[in-house]
Amino acid sequence: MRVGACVIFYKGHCFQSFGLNDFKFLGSSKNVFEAVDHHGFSEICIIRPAKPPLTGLMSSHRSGDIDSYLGIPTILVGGVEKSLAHDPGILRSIERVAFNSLLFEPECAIQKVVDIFGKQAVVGMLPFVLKDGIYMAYNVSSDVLIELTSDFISKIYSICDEVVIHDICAHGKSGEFDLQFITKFEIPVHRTIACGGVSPSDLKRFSKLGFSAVYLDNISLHSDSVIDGYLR
Amino acid sequence: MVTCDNCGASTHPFGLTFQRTHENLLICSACELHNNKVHKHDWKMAKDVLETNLLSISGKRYDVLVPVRGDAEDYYVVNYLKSLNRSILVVVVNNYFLNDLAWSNIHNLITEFDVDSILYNPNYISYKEFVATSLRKFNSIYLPYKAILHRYIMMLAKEKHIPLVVFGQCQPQEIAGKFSYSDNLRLSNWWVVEHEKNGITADEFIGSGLHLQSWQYDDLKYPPRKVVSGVTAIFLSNYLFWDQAQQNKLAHEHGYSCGQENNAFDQYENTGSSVYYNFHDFLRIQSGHEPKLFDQLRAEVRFGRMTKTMMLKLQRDFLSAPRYYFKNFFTDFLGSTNSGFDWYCENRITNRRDLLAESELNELSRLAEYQNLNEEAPPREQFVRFQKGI
Repeated sequence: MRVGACVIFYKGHCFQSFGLNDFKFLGSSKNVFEAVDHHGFSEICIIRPAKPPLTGLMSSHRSGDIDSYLGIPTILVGGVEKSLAHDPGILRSIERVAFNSLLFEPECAIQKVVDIFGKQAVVGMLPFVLKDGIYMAYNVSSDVLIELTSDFISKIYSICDEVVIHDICAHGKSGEFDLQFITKFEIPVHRTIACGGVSPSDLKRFSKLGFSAVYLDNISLHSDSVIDGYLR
Repeated sequence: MVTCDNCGASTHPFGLTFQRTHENLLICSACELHNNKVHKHDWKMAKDVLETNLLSISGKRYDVLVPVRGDAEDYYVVNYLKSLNRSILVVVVNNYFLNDLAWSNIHNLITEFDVDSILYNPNYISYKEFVATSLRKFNSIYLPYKAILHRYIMMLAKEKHIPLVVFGQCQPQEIAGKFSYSDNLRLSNWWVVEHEKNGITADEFIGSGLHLQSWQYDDLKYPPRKVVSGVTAIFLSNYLFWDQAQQNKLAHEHGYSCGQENNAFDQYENTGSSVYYNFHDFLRIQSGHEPKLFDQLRAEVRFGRMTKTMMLKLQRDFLSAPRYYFKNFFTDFLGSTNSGFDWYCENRITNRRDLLAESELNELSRLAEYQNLNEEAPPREQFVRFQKGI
């Protein structure tokens, strides 16, 4: 099972978040990307948030764009279509791209992306919440929650190579990822990446469950040896 | 520009984020974390975790290593660990910036708490070269000390089988609200680079113009993860309710002497440095940041001991008069001539020359009045180069 780090990226800096909108500054992007590499993570998931953090940022010599230093495989989430239209060069360092809002569009919309990147590079990004006992999918661009159905889940997996199931409420809260989600919808875990509230102590468990990958969120930089136990 | 409605902060070197409260106030991450500290966080549970899990681990000879610099915070940390019967090794990494007051406080700490100690003196010639290079390339004089400090203490802890390194305050957390108290934060290479070394890696630091042999650069490099595995470095402020200014005053009970810092509000913090509230502070301003005093005043506002109006007035007053005299750094430490110092001021100081003082400020700043201090004797000697036996 691959273990990656998930960071939120905005204006050359990286952020942590608790839930979807409670941000804390993490550090300059180059430092963060280098550290993720040195910590032994297999890949990095970079989220460009639809609602960016409010911050009094100062530029530093270590703030850079996404392509400033990426030595490990990278998934980019957020604003991919915009980048394709206005700044395609930024995508040259990216191995895979993940989409959220396009998942709620007709299949032909995401097929265009598949045609450009190839299916192996297209990942679905599915943020979910449990609201009043019902699992809802979150459309980030339109800021709307939609009740999840098995048909919707099947559609996503038919057009994406892998799907990131992102427990938004657990993001930043280590050990609180809602595993009931995968049993509720019979998720094909071998093509699923779990993200949001996954703890380093859960890694072996997720591996046994058959997940293709997990992404650690804020905790990925809270110590040097965060995944050493799993890598051994 | 966004500004916190509570403490007036707009930005910080550690990074601030802002949120709207239910009352539609804009609050910075530092104030938000402070609110969590005071009203929400379970400090009893956090303390239990610290004392039953982390501090219960024993080493071969020493259980904990405590880096000290002659600061009142050191007294608090050592006193606390002593109360738990931990076997402590205090370590001083000499930055050659300490005055006689700092050395007096360090020796008093060792005597008062009866702890073993190690003093590490980096090679003085190399160190001066590091500092000169750091000043020239990065406008910083503390970077080499921080790099050497963190490398040395981790390697020493590993060598002596000390499982835990204990720091007091996690400044990025306490001052900028950068981490949550639930984050189980540890010191790491990333943390050191990001917060102590201004984002500058050893490879960036070392380059042409640094006139040293390559083996001398090792002091600057944080040890690889595998080399120091088994050593954990924690911050007590992650587990104990932390009020730096109030805790610092407790050091008086153990014979601590605070200085007369004209540019500090907390007269106990970083006492005994010849540069911290002088040249180092001025360099912060040169880099577009605020003086350290502003962090201390904001902490007072958050704890409700000062109004925001008073804080803003003190901040305005502070920046309205000459504050910094640091010629002795050039002449006494770097070995510059007077003309060398003049050249630096003429060519390298880009803004706020109005803050430069013609001579040392001899009167105790009225900022200290707010600390309700007794009259303390000022240091007699700056840049005291203390070495064992000499």
